[in-house]
Amino acid sequence: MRFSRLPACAARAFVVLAAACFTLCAQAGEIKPWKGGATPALALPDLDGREHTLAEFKGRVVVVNFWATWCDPCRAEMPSMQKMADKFGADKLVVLGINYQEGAPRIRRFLEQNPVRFTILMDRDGTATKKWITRIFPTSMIIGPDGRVRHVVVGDYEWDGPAMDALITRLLPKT
Amino acid sequence: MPHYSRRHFLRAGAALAAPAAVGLPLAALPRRAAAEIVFNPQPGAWRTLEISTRFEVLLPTGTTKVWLPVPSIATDYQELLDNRWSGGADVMRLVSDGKYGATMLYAEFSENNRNPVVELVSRVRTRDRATDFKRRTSFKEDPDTLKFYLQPTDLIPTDGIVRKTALAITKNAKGDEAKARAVYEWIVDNTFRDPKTRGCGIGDIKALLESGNLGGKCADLNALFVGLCRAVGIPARDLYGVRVIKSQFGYRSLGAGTSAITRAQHCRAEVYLQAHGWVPVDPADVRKVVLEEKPQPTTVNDPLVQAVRPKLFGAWEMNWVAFNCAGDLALPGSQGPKIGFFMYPQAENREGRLDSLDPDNFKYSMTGREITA
Repeated sequence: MRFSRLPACAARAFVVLAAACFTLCAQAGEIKPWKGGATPALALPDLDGREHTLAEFKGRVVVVNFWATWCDPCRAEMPSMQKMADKFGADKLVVLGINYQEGAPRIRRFLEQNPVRFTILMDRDGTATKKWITRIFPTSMIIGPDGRVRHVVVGDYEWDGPAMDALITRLLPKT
Repeated sequence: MPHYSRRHFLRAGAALAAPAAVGLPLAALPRRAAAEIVFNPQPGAWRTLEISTRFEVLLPTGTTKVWLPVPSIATDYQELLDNRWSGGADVMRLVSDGKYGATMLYAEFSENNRNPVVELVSRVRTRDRATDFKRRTSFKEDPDTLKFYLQPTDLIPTDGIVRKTALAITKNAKGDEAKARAVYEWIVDNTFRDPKTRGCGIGDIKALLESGNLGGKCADLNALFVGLCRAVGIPARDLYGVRVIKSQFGYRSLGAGTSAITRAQHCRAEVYLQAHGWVPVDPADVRKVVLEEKPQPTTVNDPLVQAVRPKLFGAWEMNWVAFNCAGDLALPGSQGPKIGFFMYPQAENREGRLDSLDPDNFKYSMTGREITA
């Protein structure tokens, strides 16, 4: 095994470095309460040109995910986001993937290689993204059924894990 | 270009460690002997460079409006010789933003235009720049201009985390030159060129600092230099342009590899020092040499990097042409929002802005050459 030839000091350095990185970045995917005030407006076209607004999803939890094709962490978290959407079903949870400033041909090529079924919207000039977030990708906002932003996640996250399950279940209306 | 990920950092850590892990024989890497490494731009003979930009409407959707950047910087290191344009656009004329003096060719195509092409050819004279830090300049910039280049822009705020970072970096430095050098060295030591960054980067320095991921390209790293300088009261500005020909110093990473320069855009920075006037800097290119000049791993301690690092605070090789130094630019005649900077061709149609970083679908192409005859 190639690592067996690693000098002991280099091996120690690698372990320390990896541990430091893990510690530094574990905060990246934390769920934090939203303190940014009122929910910004959102009206953007999908890849077929149909415009969508948040109002059409009222009564459901909405995850608004800001992403770009060049962003590796964005790509990494997309499958878990799709699993989460599938788990809750479209009558309870909607995921909107807001692409930052890229054209439909590039987004379509990306989705051919990284297929997801949730709705992709295009922020072609970046105006909507700027109203919602600091331009760090991915950033996701979790919106309650009443249309208010409740939580924000900066960085990639395991969306199909138990913590997110519990959070979304809490936000959903009791039946 | 800020992105934030636990996985990303783990990969970065692994990448840093991997070459050591497999015991890559550094001696086997191709390298020039230390004596052969020279990077020393000096003002000398002028050269003539030509940039050709061709735009074509790919999918007519209502009226298409196009803005092509034109070299608008006229100084002792760059002069515009002429602009020529041709094509079948319904409207073609030079326009300016009126704030930064950024000139551009504006073209407009109706949906049923049967020859939806415009071509722009700009010829420019350039010569290398070098600051003599042992001599004071008699040049004094206009105070209003200096005040202007201390102002924040959308992408380059000067308060909050930017000011806090700038104050920390310069706390032990006395005088504008020492502070600017401290910022330069800090960027070289603490950032990295991220090859996955799209285009030249977004250039949002607040997001860059807040993300803690200091990876990006020239629009990120040199904008960071500008913002950190402005935040401690030193006038600075980005200049947006394109590399046209290869580097005469043999640095593959610091020049255009071929005459196709569609993706060769590059921005640089200038800082105004009381004793030396506008001083050229380019910390982003130091990081580019680290990443691209030779097989990885390469560090800032490599002789190839050490040869450029001190020079890129004070000197530019002018195998590159500056278009403008505009930030928060309102494209004349556009209904859309301002753009953070104007380095790529821009276009919009009934559906909105086209993706200027996707030239094949936009659609535009650029070529560059030196005119020697």
